[in-house]
Amino acid sequence: MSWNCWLLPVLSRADTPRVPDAVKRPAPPGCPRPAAFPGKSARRLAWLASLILLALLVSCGPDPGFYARVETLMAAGDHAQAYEMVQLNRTSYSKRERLLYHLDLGLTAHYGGLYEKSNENLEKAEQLGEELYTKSFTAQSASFLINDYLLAYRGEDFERALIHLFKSLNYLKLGKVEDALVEARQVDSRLQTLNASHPDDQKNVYREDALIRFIMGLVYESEGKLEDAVIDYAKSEEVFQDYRRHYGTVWPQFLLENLLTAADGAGRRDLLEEYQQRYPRVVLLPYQHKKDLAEVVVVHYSGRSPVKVGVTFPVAVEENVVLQVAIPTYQKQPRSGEAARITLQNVAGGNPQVFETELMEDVEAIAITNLQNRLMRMTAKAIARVTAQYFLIKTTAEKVRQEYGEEAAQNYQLMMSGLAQMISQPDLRSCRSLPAEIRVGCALLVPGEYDVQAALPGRAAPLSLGQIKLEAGKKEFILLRSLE
Amino acid sequence: MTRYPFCISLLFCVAAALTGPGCRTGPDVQRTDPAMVVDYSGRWNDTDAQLVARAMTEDCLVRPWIEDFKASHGGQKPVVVVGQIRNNSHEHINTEVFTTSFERELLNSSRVRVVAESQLRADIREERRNIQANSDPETIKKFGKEIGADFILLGVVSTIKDEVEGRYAIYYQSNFELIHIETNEKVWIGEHKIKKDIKRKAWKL
Repeated sequence: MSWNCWLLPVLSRADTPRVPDAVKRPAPPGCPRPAAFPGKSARRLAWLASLILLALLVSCGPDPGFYARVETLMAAGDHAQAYEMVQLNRTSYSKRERLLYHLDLGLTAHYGGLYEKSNENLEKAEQLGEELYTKSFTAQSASFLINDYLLAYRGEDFERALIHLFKSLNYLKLGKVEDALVEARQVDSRLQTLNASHPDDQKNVYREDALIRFIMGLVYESEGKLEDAVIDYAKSEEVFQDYRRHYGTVWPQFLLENLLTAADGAGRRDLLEEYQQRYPRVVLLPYQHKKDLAEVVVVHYSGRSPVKVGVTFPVAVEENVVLQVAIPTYQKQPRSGEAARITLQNVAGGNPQVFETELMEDVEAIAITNLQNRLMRMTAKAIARVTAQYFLIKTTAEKVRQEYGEEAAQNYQLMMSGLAQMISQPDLRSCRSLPAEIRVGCALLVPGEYDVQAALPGRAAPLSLGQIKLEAGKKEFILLRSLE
Repeated sequence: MTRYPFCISLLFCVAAALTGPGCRTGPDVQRTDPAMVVDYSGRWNDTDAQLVARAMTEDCLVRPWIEDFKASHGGQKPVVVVGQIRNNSHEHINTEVFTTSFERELLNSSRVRVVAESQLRADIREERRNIQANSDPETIKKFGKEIGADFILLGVVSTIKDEVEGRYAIYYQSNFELIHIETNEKVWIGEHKIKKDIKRKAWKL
């Protein structure tokens, strides 16, 4: 409803009885000028109050209290309840935030192990993102004057790409390997498509995803398609060069180990030698040995994604006229950066195997960089909006001055400027269910049945994850969510 | 003074009417002819599956592998089983839709015998096991009477996608192969290509 804030003053003028001609005429010398906007001052105040109220009702996604409650449930490990809470609070999301609603549902369902439900919602979010390519002329025009909350939330580029990553993991957990690969292929395809739509000097640096390539490598390796596995592990290593440069994330050791083993299994001596020269400290586990072992892959979603806050800066729209322009920026949330510690105990006996998760996808850094990459686009629009509002108010104030005199014009300008400032909010919508980082841990074990325990950051006691059965040459994916 | 604000109000009223909630209360459902081509998203759909199934069966049945087999096996019809059709594409494709059509056309041609695929065979064996324990002895079906297939149908669907936001071209290539189970000899390779150019509207009112 945000545009109503703008509309109402003008609509009210049309609806209220016309001002008597006597009032419009200049007051005779010596007589006091009639009050600006004739009518009782109480009525004027009520009118102004309603404007402010309406301006404050600008839809800006679910309130922070709602997210705090969802996060409390997630921190307690009650992800299914968090999913239900999002579902029960559907009305907290406006119709322009349907993508956000399905994204929140899809992610909470994913963390809660409701993989089918997660896929249904992430699919809807993906479709909405595609449908929103077609822009509404009216909404775009209105958003130019009012604010971006008038536009349906289409998702940040990285949010839309990550939809496929989560879907891919859902399919893996459902045992649908081909479907998992379909989604995995979509991650880079989506990133390339979104990036192609931006001007050359404003491209995202998040062009490819290293984590999804690593997961594809794992899937191909477990399917025995070692040539494909080598390609994806190598691609992941390549994308990590970008990750290191832009986000400071370095490749984990197990990626390089898997790359060497897959190259060995595929008979790619050339690649094996090349990577051994590049990483002389990485020890090769021959494929003949590895295929008799099972691999446990722990995907650990840790922390809270950054939230958007508004920052203002002054812009001179006219000589001696400086206005404040607000744009969104990401604010980091407290983050421990601690690993999850996994313990696997073979039920047949022996020493437990303990390993930790390592940072593979710094979602927080990707989000911040992604927003910075479109800073120029956002800033230009925000400046244009404030300038347009200023000149519109100035022109209408001039009309008020002609009709009602200086005092009325000043009142009008003051009120409308305040209102304009109030409604020119930066778009602070973002997906709050995403983690700050995605960590991964890998361990090779002899086939058998294992008891699994995970010590997660922010939880005092280790979490028992039950028993898993490991088969030679197969990969077992374990998904964990922690909020400190 | 009133004209200016009025114009602005009118502009925003129009915007409100156009962007406001719709009045639809329920889905609008219409039965359509299954053969009718309906494309909404541009993704793989029933029409594509039907096109592939039809093209593949037509090609498979006119090739000489059936007659060659009969000639070398005393006039016996070849027995075919449908194996895995891999999806190497960018989309979720239910390959069962066209493998079932493929089986049906082979059967209806009366020139080939078709046996159940592996998952169905497992289900049937379970049922046979159940029969052994619970059925009238005269109606019990024996183990070891299954017909072994001569050929297995394997295939793959791949895509090449070229995309910019709002427009994409996608090329689907379906390759089916009939392979002699004993000798690994490929007796037929079918190929079907579909290319689509999908464009989204950039603007609406």
